[in-house]
Amino acid sequence: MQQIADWIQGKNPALGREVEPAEDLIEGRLIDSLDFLEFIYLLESVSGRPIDLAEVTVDDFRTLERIEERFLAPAAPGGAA
Amino acid sequence: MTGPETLRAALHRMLGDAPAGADPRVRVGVDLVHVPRAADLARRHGERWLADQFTPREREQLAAATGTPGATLAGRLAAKEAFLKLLIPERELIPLRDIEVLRAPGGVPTVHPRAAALHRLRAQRLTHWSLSITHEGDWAVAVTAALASPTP
Repeated sequence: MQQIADWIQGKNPALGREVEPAEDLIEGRLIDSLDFLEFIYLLESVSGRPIDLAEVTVDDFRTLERIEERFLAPAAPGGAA
Repeated sequence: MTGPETLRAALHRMLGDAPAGADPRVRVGVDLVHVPRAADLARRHGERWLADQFTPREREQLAAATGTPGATLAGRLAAKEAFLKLLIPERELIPLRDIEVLRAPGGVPTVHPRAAALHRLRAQRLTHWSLSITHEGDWAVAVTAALASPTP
């Protein structure tokens, strides 16, 4: 998760502080639309799982808390037969 | 007799009543892209990024671009972003690849919405749109305009 926070920090050097876990990244324009795909690639790299853009919404990227919950939580175990 | 009141009356006669506000049927989108930044993204992320941002037809045109290919790339990205603003997406994510921007014969840039962008376009009742792209030095800018049909 720190890798994600560091990436956001690196894209916003003028921020001058750490990104809060519940801070709105979209409204705060901390994730630029041109960098969005790079952010997706990073999440895929960190989580080890592909992300289908058809299966996600803007709210899934709104805060660090939500990003961690949506993409970095351990994958659910397979269902019982 | 001169003065503000006379001038105001004269302007009113010429122009009519001032509009009440923005016309919801008219949409405008604009975006500005730094050419070196776009080139850097393409260089760092390569084929996957290009394939995720552009359709095969777009990539064919980008590969054939002469003169200032970096500016062409940035201009196409700006065009996609400007058109995206017309769609006013809510919670859904609309991939830029779904906003296909092509150069028609004669050089006019055209937008071909598909998949998620087309779905949103229809939901927004946008029926006519137009696009213009330009670039100068390190910057590319695109402007889009669209008309929405009235809500029934």
